Amino acid sequence: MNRVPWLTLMIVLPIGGAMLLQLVPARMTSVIRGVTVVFATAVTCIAGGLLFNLPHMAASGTQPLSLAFQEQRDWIPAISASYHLGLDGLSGWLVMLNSGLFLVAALAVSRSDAERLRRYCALMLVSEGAIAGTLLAADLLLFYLFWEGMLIPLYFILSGFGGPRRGQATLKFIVYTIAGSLLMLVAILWLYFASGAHSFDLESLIINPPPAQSVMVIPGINVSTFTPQDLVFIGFAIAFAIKLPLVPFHTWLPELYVQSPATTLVFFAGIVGKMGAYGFIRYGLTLFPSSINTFKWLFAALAVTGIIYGALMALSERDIKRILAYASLSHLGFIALGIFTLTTNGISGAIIQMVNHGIIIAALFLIAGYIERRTGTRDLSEMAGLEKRMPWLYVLFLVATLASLGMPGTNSFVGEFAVMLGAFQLGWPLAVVALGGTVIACWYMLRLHQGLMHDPLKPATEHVHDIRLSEGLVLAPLVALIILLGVFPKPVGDIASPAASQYVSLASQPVAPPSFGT
Amino acid sequence: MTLLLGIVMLLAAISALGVVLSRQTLYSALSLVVTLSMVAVIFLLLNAQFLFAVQIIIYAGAVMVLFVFIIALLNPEAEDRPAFDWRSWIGIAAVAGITILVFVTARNGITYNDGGLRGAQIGRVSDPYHTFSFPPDAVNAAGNVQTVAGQLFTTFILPFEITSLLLLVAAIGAVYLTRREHSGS
Amino acid sequence: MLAQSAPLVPLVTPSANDLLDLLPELIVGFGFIALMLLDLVVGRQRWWLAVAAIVFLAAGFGASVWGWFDSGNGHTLYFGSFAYDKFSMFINCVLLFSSALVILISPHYLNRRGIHHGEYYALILAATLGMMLLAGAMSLMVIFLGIEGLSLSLYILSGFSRTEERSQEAALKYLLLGGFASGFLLYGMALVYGETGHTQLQQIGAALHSTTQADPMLLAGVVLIFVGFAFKASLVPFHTWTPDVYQGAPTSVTTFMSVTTKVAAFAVIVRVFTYTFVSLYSHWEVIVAVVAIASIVVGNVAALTQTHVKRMLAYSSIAQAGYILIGVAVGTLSNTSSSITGTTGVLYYLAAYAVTQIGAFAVITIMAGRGEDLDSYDGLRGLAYRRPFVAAAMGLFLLSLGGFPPTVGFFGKFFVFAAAVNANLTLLALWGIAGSAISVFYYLRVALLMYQRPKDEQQEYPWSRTTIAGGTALLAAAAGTLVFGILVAVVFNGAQAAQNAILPAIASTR
Repeated sequence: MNRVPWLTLMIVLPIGGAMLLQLVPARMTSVIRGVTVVFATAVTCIAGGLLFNLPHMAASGTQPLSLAFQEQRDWIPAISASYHLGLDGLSGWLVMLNSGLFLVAALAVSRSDAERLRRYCALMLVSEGAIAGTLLAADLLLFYLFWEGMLIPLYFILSGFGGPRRGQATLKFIVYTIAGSLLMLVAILWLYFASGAHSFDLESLIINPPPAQSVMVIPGINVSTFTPQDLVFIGFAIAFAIKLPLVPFHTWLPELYVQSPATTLVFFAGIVGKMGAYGFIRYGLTLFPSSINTFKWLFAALAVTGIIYGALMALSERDIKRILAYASLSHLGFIALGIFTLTTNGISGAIIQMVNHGIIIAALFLIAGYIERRTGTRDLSEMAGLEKRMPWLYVLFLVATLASLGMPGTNSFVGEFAVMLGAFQLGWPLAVVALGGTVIACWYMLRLHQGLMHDPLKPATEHVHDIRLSEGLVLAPLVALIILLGVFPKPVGDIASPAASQYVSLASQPVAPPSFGT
Repeated sequence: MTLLLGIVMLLAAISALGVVLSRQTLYSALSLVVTLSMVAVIFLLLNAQFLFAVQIIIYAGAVMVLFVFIIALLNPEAEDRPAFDWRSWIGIAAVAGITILVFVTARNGITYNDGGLRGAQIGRVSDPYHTFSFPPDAVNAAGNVQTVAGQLFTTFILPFEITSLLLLVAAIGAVYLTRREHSGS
Repeated sequence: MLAQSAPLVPLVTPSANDLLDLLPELIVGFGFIALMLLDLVVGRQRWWLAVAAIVFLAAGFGASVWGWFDSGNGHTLYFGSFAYDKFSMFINCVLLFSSALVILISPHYLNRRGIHHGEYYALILAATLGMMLLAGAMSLMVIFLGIEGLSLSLYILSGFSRTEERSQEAALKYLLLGGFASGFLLYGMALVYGETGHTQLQQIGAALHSTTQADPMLLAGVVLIFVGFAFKASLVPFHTWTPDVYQGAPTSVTTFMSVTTKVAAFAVIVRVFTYTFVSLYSHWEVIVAVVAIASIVVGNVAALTQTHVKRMLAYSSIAQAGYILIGVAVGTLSNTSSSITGTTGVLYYLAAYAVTQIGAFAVITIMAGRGEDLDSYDGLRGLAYRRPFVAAAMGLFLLSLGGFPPTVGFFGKFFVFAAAVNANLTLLALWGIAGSAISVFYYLRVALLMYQRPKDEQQEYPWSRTTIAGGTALLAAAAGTLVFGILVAVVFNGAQAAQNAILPAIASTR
């Protein structure tokens, strides 16, 4: 293969860009925006190039994940933690989504707060690098490093930019996430010590799982109820469930989404929200095949609860950002449901849906941001008849709305259909309830769209003007992708399905004990 | 012998309590004199005559005299002056009696049998941890001062030297904290 | 008067090699005395003293690095009184580095506070010497003298601002409670000596190893020694002096003592407990674990409600001590062949803590106003707008204290928790994690404040200018925090080598 460390570049390039930004004087806003866009574009090009050159590799005994473009270097040799990166069909799409959404965010970044533009752009680029690292890492310690390190730029972005109550909302998110991550840290440590491999490398941990009778002593917890693997899985699962979020852990989400500006939400809702789902597939399915089978009903039920709960909450809200936040929660439920069906259909649907949802939610939050900036309100009841004032936005919004409720011909339909197929394979009652969620989705999305666009104008919407060309150019690619992936979903499916079937096979059959020595 | 040691220890403890509990500073200081003297007596009873002498001269003597001087300097009020009543006389008589007893026994040689207080058991062979290297007879034969000096300048030379640095630090601190500010510096 | 018979112990003079192996300590000790004399020469050009102090510390650092390579598997000096091993050299390096950073930030601060006297530098070196002695101590005597050496210097240093009541109060409080702690320590040492008949750690270890039963007197001695150390490391419930003394003392002194005292105290705790009292592990494990948990809980909860950075850092340092103590509570247990042990974790944590905590306090020191410390939370608001680099450095230190990757603080926690999991003490690790999750609140709160807009844009801001020396110190601390968080292997391998060569070696039966 070629010698260029492309994966490292995807991590280092944005962070280097952030450092470069510090050299630009803060008042040269157009230079700052230019540099940011250039770096984001470069990373997007790399991600795209790698994705479409991703070789179809069969899993082998020593490489159960069939990672491509691997890079491996010693990091802390004494504890066999290595700098190990790799790309597969799952992470490939998410990396592409990551870089794409950050490019969109870089293009859409608001000029209004010129004084702090440099800090915002720099933090954004650092976040992009950290998220890319999380997606590419194939070593548990390295993964954890990026997983928690990503919170640093996110903390400063979320707490520094947005609505008046952002500080509290951010702190809630951070403390929630940290608590979950730290549990995962202990789980990682236990895996490390219990596994015969004594390595943090994901693949060698998959090959050398901890013995079933391994000991774990936590006074006060009756370990005999669950196997130690189950407890460790719960440690991982809580971290991922908080980040996803699954329903009992979702309380940080609505307020944070409401307080954050649209640009932040493009990548925060678009890609950070997918990290939990990614973690479940990448680590939950591969490291804990037996535990995930034990718990799949629980998590599938939680996912369906999330779908319905999010949908009902979206229906009852009047704040447009809050509606979108709950809609997002509901859609994330679909992704989670797809994962816990543990079927190829479900998981490939989940992967596709992660990409789709990232595109759609980014477009929706951008639109909500544009509307809010023009009308000065987010209250649905104060707005109506925008189609007369904003015909261009009306069209773009219509497409995004239809995609969001899973209309055939938009990208979302493909993903949701696959997830539903998987759900039916798991058990029809779950699928039926989840279908109920899509019905409510039609209801609240159309309510949102009609409420905003139709009917006579109201005072707040009297004097608004349509989106500018630059804003339209940010939205247009997203909307084009929605339609393109809707009518021609093959490229996504071609890469997602083999990856999905591979993860399913890892999850369904506990790996046989290693026949070769370690 | 063990009983005598026990009484002296008790006296040391009681007078130490007296240092903390008495309301007048001079009483505290005098109680401290008794405590330090009793510690000295314990040294004597344990066959450490050199340490006994050092303890008496330095602590009960020099240090305490300074203490009492300073207290007298700072606190010349009449009510702080000790008033002797019958209790004090009993105390003084007890201390004096014990001291005489100690000197008499010390003159006649001090030996312990294996039973009794734990403090007297040091050197007992049956003690599982013990690999004691200074049996009293051998120390007496070699000479108390010589043994201490030999130890101090061989095995414990490093702590001994560190102590000198410690004194220097203390001296600097005392000078710094009490020094008056020069005008202009 | 003549000795009739030969002295009990044949008079052996210590070899010259012993003196040579003591080179790092000798250099610093010489520097201490030389600085006192230099003070007479330099007149009002006191910054020369700082230069000289840094030269001595750097020379000591060089000697320690030389000692690291020279000591091999380690041996004792002066009849088993002192250790010449990689462990003490590792600690020496951390101590000397920290002291040098403190000296760097001191002159400017002392000038602003109007307490720039020559004794300061001498006393810092004296305290450093005491800590180095503590790090290498192999005898109860040297341990006691080392503790007294560092304490005496720190008593004076915390009262260094003679006209300020709060500083005097801090000094007095520290002195009284420190004297109390010394009493406990001596009592414990006396009991241990009485039971084993030895003051040298190696012989104590051997004597303890030869028996299986533990005498109550011996255990009482062990506990009392731990109490004495716990005072110095400010562990709960012996922490009450910490916030007041940290706040009252001049900030540069607080910087110094919050870091170096803990490093030295934990060095001696590891040597005495993990390695000397190893055969009594089952007896002291519970006590140490409970103290660790108590420190984590009390430190973190109390830090939540603080409104001054110095006090917050004081309480957080109590919690940090709790995390480190987890590494001690693990002892030498290891269920697997993994190389992560409690001692390695403690050493890594100490290095990480030193570089981070020095940085955090250095920011407060550097920003100090004329005559007073500006360490209230409100005083920090908007720092990022006036002093972007100082604020960024402070943010980095706070993140490292909170244990965020990729800073060195994360790996400190990581290795300590890993050691706990490795020893099947997962519950301890979980307590540590609960504490870390709480700590995120107050660290990030301060970090956020610095990045908020100042209340009044036009307001005159009181923060001092950053001097070149102060900037260098900050840069060094920040670089250490970040670089060692990425190139983890450098420090980790060092900690491991130090752990492997520590004296006294573990008794073979465990």
